[in-house]
Amino acid sequence: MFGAVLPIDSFSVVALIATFLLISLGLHFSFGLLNIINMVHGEFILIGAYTAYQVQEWTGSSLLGMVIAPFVAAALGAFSEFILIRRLYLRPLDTLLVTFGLSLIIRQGIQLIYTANPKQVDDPISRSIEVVGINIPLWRLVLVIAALVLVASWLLLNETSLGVRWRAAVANPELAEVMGFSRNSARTSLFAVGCGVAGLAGALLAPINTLSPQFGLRFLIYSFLVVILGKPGSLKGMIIAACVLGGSLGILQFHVSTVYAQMIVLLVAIVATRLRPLLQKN
Amino acid sequence: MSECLKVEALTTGYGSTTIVREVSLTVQRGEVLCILGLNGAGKTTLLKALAGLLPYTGSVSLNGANLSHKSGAVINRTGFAYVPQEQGVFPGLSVEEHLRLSRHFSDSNRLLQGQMLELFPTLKERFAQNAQTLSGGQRKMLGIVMALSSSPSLVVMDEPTEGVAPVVREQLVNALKAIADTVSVLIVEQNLDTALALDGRGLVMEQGRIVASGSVREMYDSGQLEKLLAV
Repeated sequence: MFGAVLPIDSFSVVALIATFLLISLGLHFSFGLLNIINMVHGEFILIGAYTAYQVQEWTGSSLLGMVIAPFVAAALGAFSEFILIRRLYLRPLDTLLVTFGLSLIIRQGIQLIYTANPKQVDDPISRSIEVVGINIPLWRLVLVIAALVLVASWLLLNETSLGVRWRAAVANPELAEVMGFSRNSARTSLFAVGCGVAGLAGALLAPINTLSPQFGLRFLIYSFLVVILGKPGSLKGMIIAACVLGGSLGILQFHVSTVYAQMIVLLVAIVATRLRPLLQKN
Repeated sequence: MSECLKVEALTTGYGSTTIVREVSLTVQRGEVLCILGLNGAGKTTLLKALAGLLPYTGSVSLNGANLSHKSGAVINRTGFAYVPQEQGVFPGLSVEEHLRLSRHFSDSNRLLQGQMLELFPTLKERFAQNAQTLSGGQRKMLGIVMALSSSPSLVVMDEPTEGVAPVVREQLVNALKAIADTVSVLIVEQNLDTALALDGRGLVMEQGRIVASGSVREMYDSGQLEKLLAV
């Protein structure tokens, strides 16, 4: 029944929304919550993808690489927060410069190691199923499930003692400090989790994309669009923005070329950002 | 009585501007010490330095443990509870979440927190409310309950009755008196009525230095406070 109404690959719209959620959730932590203008976010996606590739080269298993990728990205994220970003929380514009510089170093470093030639990470489940006439590639279904699990995990974590402490440390770092929990630890943890989620996104997206040192850049703009449109710091807003932008891009791609679809989505983002205060007021 | 807090020759300020100069003081166990002074005397700056929020020279110890140059988190865990003058709540967190947060390090203090909530029954009716939307007086009450929930040996409060209605002020003063039975209290206060009601020892600060000390009641009766605070 649905197959007669919806295009046979209409599940790709859902997968695109999941992709937007995956690439934006990490930025929700660093930019939305910690107020870091995180230009290196795309490179943590890149690190995750190349970790999956490297582990696949060593062991033959891309799946193992996907398990390891978030931990590698989180560890590198914690290290960069400790060394560079920690001193800049009161200077958001400086975080833009520092993270931009760091992104160039990481991207060039990866190019030096792996060259600019495209690489491929294997799809661990290269099969499709058909449900009510709609073709569903199983790996894209994994992306959707991963996005839902990650968002649900963060919502649940928000209610735990750890989640409340993190939210408190972000909302009023000075008060958090004098109440006995270190604002530095909370910030490092949050940034590392954000980088870990970005790394996982990169590893999961690698099998359905061609890998190159520019891999993270293509996601950076969309992740910023989603977080800004959803209002930085608002998870609910971010989810709605991912649905609006991912959904409209996915649907438009059925009807016009990708370039036009992207232009229209950017226009939608601009108009929606302009209208958001009015919608909130009402 | 033995010494709870000991501060020696503390000098601090913001950047290159020195605000507090060579301040020394002690708070005995079970004592209420009230720091009085006009605006700009350096009272809040002194408390911020003691809480680990500003760098300083000099030395600070609590129950014999050296707190000098430790972070705010470490100082708190030593038994030092600080209730700031402003921004004493976490925006976006409910009252209930504040209380969960404050007892994070000591589950055994639920009973104490329950007792503290008895002092401020109005908070019990607002568990689900965003703490940022509480009135000024209710935020001060929440700050006090949070501070006391960690079983501190010293509670340091910065103008807890500032900007609150007289009836709430009376409630706060009664609560502070009840607290003083079990913990030492260091309080900065501009309101002379509050300082007199607490009936403890007082220090007067002027331009970053301590210029008078003694019983608040005696300093008031002798006219010393009137002269120093222009009341």
